[in-house]
Parts: sequence; structure tokens; C-alpha cells
Amino acid sequence: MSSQARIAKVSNRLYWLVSAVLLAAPVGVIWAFGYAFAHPDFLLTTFPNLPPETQITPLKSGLVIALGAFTFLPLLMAFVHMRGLFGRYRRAEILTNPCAQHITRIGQWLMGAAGMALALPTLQGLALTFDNPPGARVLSISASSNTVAVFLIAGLLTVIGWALRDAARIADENAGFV
Amino acid sequence: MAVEIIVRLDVMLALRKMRSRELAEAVGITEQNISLLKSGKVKGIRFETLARICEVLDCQPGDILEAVKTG
Repeated sequence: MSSQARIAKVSNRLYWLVSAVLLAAPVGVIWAFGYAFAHPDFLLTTFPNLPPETQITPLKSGLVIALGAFTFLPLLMAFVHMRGLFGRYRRAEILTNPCAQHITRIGQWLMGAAGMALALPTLQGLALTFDNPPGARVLSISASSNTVAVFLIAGLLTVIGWALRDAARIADENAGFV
Repeated sequence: MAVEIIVRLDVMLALRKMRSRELAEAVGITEQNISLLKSGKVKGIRFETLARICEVLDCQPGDILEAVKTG
């Protein structure tokens, strides 16, 4: 099998997989909202280090979920561009400027998602404890190895996207040669 | 004064009494590319292609390409 045929075949499968993820994502967010309102106490297990004075209200749990959903947006945008990229790859449109742009955008949106993941626990901690008495409010900053890995992958994809833009230009130039 | 490269492939084909399709087959490129080459609608020609054309038409690159002053 030629490399172009392999790219088209694998991309076709990934295209449908990403499409399914994009369809399932809103359902997941709606389910999370519903679950948060129905079981507000789940936040106590999610945030075990909350001060005992913290009261979990439907408003707070909704706010925490909304923040989580908001941070999911960059990831969703990365998936949208992934779908676009695989859509082009499965049509055997490989070394083109739009493909390079998709890869750059995936990298940039993943960078945004990693940034959001970094800020999310801080914002959620503040949302849960903003009405606590002084001294019982939480301001936490944390970074996991996963976040660092996503940052690195996002940076790599962005740079590969820029490099591919150059490759697409050269391929376009070569196409003009007989 | 600018110089433009003109492709004289049609002249050589006429001299050798050869059709574009025959040349394309002998050189190993598509007839469409030969047509683009004849009309000068290409950015460039690879040395490899030029060598094959010269071999098939028994000519020199200068017989096919000509630098013409314009303007």
C-alpha cells in the first residue's frame, strides 16, 4: 500500500472517530450539567481539600461545571480542525496550505486547552469558596505532568504546521515543473 | 530589458514529424504536460525531462528553448 493510500485509509477512520467525538461532546456537557445539579455533593469528592465551611449550592456546582465546559471549548475547536484535516487527508489532499493551517490551529487550540487546564482548578476553587469567611477561601495553583505534555505536543504541532506550510509552498512550486 | 524563455517544442516536433502523444509516451510524461510545455504555461522544466526530450528528438536544449528579449 502506498503511503498516500495509507494516509487516506487511516484518516478516513479517524475522521469518523473525531466526528463521533464532536457529536458526543455536547451530550456529555449536558449530562455533566444535569449530574452536577442532581448531585451537588459530588464536588466534595472532586475537591477533597475544600475547607469545612464550604457550602455546595446548585449555583456553585453549576458555575464549576460551566467553567469546566468553558475550558472544554479550545479542545472542541482542536477537534473541529482535526476533523477538517482528516477530511482533507482522506481525499488524498496532503501537502497543501489548508492542511498546514489545520495542523497549526490544532496546535494553537491545544495550547489554549492546556492553558485553560492550568487555570481551571484555580477558578473552580475560587468559585466554590468565594463566599467562605476570610481565611477559608481557596486559591490553588497546580500543574500536572499531563498539562506539561499537552503543552509540549501543542507546541510541536504548531511548529510542524509552520514547517508544513513551507513544504506545501515547495510542493506547489514543484507541481509547476514538468 | 527583460528576457523571456520561449519553448520551441512545436517547431522541433514539426521538424521531426512527431506528434505530442508520441513524444509524451517516449519521454514518459503525460500529453497534458507536453501541451503545457508547448504553450509555455509551466514554471520550469526538469533537467531529466529536458534530457529525455533532447534524446527523443535528437536535438540540443537550445533547439527547444530560446531566450527572447521583451519590452
